[in-house]
Amino acid sequence: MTDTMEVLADLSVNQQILVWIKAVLILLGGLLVVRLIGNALFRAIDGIMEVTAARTLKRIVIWGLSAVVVLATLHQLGFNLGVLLGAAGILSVALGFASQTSASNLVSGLFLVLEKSFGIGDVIRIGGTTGEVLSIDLLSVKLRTFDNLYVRIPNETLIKTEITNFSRFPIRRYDLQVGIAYKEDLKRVHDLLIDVADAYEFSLDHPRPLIIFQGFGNSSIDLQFSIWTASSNFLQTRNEMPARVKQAFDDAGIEIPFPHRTLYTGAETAPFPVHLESSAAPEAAIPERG
Amino acid sequence: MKWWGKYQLTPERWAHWRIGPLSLYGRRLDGNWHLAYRQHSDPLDDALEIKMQADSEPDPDTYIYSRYAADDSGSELELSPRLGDRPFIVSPEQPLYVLAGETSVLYVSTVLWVQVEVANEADKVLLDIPSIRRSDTWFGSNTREGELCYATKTSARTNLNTLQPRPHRSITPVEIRNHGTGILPVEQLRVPVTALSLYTDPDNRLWTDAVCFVRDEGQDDATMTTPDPSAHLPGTRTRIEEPRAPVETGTIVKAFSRLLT
Repeated sequence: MTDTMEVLADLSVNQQILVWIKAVLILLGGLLVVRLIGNALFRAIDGIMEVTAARTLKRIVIWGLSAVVVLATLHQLGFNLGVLLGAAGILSVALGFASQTSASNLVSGLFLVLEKSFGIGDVIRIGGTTGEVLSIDLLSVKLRTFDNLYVRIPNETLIKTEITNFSRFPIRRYDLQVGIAYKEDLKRVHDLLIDVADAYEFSLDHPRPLIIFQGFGNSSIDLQFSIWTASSNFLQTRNEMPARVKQAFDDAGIEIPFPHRTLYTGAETAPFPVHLESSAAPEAAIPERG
Repeated sequence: MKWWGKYQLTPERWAHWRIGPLSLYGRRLDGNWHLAYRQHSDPLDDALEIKMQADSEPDPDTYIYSRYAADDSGSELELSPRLGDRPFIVSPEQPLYVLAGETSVLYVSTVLWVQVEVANEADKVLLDIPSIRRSDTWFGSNTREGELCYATKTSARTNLNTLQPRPHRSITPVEIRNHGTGILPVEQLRVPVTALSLYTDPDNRLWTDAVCFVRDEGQDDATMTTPDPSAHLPGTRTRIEEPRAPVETGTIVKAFSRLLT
């Protein structure tokens, strides 16, 4: 009888060891398999997605599958997963409330990366901030502004805000608002502006420069002069083109008017009389009411 | 007269080359190479002058100066013609139409780059500049996809004898075969000079490989093919430059401007 008891006890101890060995095997084997799956996934999507996005996705898959492996190990050891999952549920609700902002940023970051609106090195404008993208991380995007400041923008803000990517397309249009005097010949101005664009090396031949009539303004006929340029030459074009237009207008005697104001004192009053006397002192030029 | 080759410079004296719209000065002084250049934008300028002892000095206000430290190199400079570093979009001055089933050969000329290097020394390139002030253009079916090219106008002669040779331009024979049923307007052509070799003939004219565009039946696009290398080129010629970039064989290019909508 005692022998039987001892045998049973031995069996039970052996079984306990067996369970632990199984659990360790599940854990190690599982984590190895998870790592392999992660790497295979990364290799499969690396060419399709950007490196940052692929790495993030790989990390999420590894974390998720690792959690399953840990749960399976605990199950093997005899833990009641129902209780554990219940506790985990309560914990995740508590954590969710506590880390609402981080979670929101994290999810926004994922969408942002998948959306591929911009990449590292692109020049973008978000709200009032314009700069070069230094990194796209899980919680935020880092920019370097042109006055060399480091700006961190939370991903949640990026999802909600309008983003302008200046580097997306290789060419850009530069629009210059030009006002000319009413007396000028529009056809002549048109030809002159096209000549200015054609003579400028950074103005693209195609698409052709455009001159768009904007309206009869208060003091001038308003035109929009639009030229296309390579994105890399945009700043130079923006700085040089107004000077070239001004020079061409000056050379051709075309007037760029400044605002004119006509003062009117009402129907009952005569215009302001001005008496000029050739040798008069400045005081004498003060107008009199007629 | 040819302008490419090796030139022995007189120490401390400016040498002057005028190659069409390009004016280039070079001098060897105190172990340095001094270079100064400027280009204007008149494509018809066919001036060619070489003076090993220039009458004047380059004007610092209008010339771009550069200085290269090279103590142990000799006093010999080498000038070579090179083809452009981007494709050219060539627009015939007058529109040309190729009728259905016809084949036409045009001789178009494109601007050359001038490379200045220390003679007899490998990898000592001092300058690689266009001989005319360049003009950029966009070649693509929309403003999102395409490529930056250089724009140039050409008379697109069909008779080689009427083509005026200019020192700063090379001639590219372009064969256009219209196998389609409709008329083919040739308003713009993309000449991929980066993929072409440069040749010289006994008359010191510069040539590139020929380019061939074929529009097959039922197609809007013209496909660029590599024709017979000797097609439309002078029989006696010497290759002087290799292509800048690997040859674009089998590439489908949108060669005609009506695709630029």
